[in-house]
Amino acid sequence: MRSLVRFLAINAVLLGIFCLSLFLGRYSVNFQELLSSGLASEILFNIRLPRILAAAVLGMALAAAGAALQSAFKNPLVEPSLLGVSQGSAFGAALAILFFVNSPVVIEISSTAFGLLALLIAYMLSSSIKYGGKILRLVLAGIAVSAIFSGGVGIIKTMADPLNQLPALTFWLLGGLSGAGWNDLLYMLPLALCGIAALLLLRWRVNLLTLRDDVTFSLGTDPGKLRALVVIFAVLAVAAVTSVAGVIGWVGLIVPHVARKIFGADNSQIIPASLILGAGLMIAFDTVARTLTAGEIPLGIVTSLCGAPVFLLLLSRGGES
Amino acid sequence: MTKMELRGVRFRYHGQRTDVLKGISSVFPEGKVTALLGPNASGKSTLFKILLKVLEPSTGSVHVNGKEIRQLSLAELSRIVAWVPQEEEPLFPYTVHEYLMLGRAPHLGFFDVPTGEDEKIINRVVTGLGIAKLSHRETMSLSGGEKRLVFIARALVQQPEVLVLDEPTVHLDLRNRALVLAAIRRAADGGKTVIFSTHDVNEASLVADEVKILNNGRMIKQGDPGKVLTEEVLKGIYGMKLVFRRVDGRPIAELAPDSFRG
Repeated sequence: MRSLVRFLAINAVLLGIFCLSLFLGRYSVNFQELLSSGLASEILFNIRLPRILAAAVLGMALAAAGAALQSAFKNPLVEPSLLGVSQGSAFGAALAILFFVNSPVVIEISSTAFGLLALLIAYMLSSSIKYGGKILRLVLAGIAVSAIFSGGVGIIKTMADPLNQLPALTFWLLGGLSGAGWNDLLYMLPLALCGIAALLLLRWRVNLLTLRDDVTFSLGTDPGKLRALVVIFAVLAVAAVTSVAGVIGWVGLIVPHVARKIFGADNSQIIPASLILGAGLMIAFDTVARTLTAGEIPLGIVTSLCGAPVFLLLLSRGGES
Repeated sequence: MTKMELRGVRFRYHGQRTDVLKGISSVFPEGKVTALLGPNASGKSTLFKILLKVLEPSTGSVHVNGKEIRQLSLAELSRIVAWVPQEEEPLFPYTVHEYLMLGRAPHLGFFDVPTGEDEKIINRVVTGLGIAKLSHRETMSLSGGEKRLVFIARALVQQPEVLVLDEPTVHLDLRNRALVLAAIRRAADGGKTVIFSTHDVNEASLVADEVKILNNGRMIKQGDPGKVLTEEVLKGIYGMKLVFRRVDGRPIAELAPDSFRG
């Protein structure tokens, strides 16, 4: 009962952030203008609304994937970039920018493909490492794959044309939803929703991965298979949103912890709560990114800059909220 | 009621030269408590892993109610056999109630979330074990004895027919030992087949209906505790001087005062 009230509360907060964000911006819009002015409704429905929805999907995917991966890897410090997925996606995007600088579709497809490829390589590498347990091996392989792909990104930067490709590349790498429209939303939506829906369906069963593997086994679930399933769906969602928004840190790490602070440990509550909190937080960060200065602050910078203090503040506050 | 049976089970870990289990045939009788005794490295843990199908025997087979467990799915087996490890530290601070709910996993579909029905089963189990008041505590904040009872509760919530426990009383004080042993005894009196490992000879003779002694991969003695646990057998296994006596016919063994002075 108490958790139902809390869910209603975070939903109300999400709705508030959504409405506020819709009417905030360099071109200020109020209700009257919305009804009378064509420009106002154009801005609202074709510029702000798709961008806010993209931010919501981005936040949902990163936060739900973070929550699920922390359980799957039995490590509360895990975030979606851990398995090399983010750096793989960044490399895919960089490669596409080098050859097709003006084609967002190619950039997004290449980014998703390389994100998934990075996971695949990490998984295969992990079986050849002769050190530590299964989980540690996978994490080590992920770190190695990340390093290789981020080296690749560095090489592409040196090859890029400094007037045209390099700025595009740098801006993409900083991450953000600047100029994200209905099309971008449509590109990332199918894969992102597929991943999110699967994690939502598995929300209770994910708990079994936080137990000892032999206990999970004795509860009728093969921990290796369940872990692989969770990782695949989490990565699918992350790769899809990363292809549009670039590498966005922190949210996948902090939102699940904030959710645990409010709802306890049970993933059947944490995964849905992370979806809502992730959406709300990302919309808020993106609103800051596009309104704080005359220009546009890259979203990745805002999430790190605001995310870290928010994280410390929430975790250092004693007592349950 | 369910009996578990090993038929000619041998097991060798990959890349090793000798068998850990060297042809074990043994019956764990239904509705009884069986204590598995044996020195460290005698093969007890491996034997348990084989009962739980975490490991497959190299040769031989395991049967539950006459059916080979190889032919049962993991989910089917988990509705029959439940496992209680010595220690279990979940990653996140679940409440006891949330933790016990995980014991319902074998009975739920892959995408299912527990319901009020599962809730009722948990309530019955915690009331039976006298730990209903712990429900809203965090598992990590429990004392050693409380934790052990909660582990047993999680296995009982699974509604298994066979309960396998790894040294369930280790590190506990006398009072908590008695509570855990009583829970084990009650489970068997309620019709469950209970198998537990222990290093404590006295504990085995106190609660077990059947004692099995595993040594160096072989089941060297099995049967009634009063007959199996004799002075000669125990001295043979541990190679130590022991003080041996019988209280109400039950064998009691302790280290002799001069057994550790070289």
